[in-house]
Amino acid sequence: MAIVAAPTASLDFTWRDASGSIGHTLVHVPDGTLAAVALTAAEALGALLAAMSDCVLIGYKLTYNRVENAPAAPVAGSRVEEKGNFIWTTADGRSTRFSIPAIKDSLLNQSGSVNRSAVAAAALITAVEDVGAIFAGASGSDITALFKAYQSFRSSTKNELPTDG
Amino acid sequence: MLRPVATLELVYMDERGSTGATVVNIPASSSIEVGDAQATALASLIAPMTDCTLVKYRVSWRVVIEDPGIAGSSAAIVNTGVFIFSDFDGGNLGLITIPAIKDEIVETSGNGAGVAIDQENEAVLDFVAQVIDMNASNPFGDIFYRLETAYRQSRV
Repeated sequence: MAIVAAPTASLDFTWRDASGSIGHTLVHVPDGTLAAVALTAAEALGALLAAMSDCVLIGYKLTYNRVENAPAAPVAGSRVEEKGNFIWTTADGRSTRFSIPAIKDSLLNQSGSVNRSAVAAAALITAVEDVGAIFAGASGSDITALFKAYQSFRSSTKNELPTDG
Repeated sequence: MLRPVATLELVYMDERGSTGATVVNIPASSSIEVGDAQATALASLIAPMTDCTLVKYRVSWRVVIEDPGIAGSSAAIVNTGVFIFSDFDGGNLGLITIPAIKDEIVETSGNGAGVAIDQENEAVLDFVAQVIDMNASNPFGDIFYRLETAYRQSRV
């Protein structure tokens, strides 16, 4: 199994019309295109597109896609609704968070908090907090320390419910 | 305005095929090579922590228009401009669609009146030149070389 790149990166321009409805213009560029080059080209293209549309351009997104070509089988009983939440403080005094779907029960304390001493959890925490790490909050401020980590559950979507119930 | 962070979105699949994601920010100044390296490193750290399996990841940069204004009363996304491009050999096609295409770039006379887009219109020429100059392509990476046809279509 290996991670493979899609042939192209995508530029997704988002438009809003008079009714508030949203539309998109999707443009592809070769995957080897540098992000900075693609964003510069997108800025130029966005202005030209806007000259051809009655909508207003509200933003655009550049995305590089990578796919696992032979993913391993998930563990029996795994559920994405069971999440490990990691809340971090950032250098600007704010917080940021991410979650890990189907966190392993073996990493949890009886209360549902993450056992920070567990080898895998400690390795993640160390890597994210490391001064050389570049993980950041939404403002771009560096993550400095783990604030809270615990298990939680979100509601199942309709498509996630059992079909044989 | 480029948002200050790019996002790494690692997508995991559970036993049922349902997916969930871990989304982490990195500075927007990061290159895609850095994004790939960080995503790979993060995936290796998360792997022993989840019962799911990693199926894909994305690295994204977002630009937000700070004051986009309000669309004119006639603007409707269903009035779509469709531009079909071909690669150098002409054997591979791709399209770019533009919502609420302006009336003034649609031909008003001849066989294509009301439907065909005026390919000699200055805005259209500038757009096509930029598409080709930036090496835009279809999803398979076939780089556009020329505009084959362009027309207005109602798309919901």
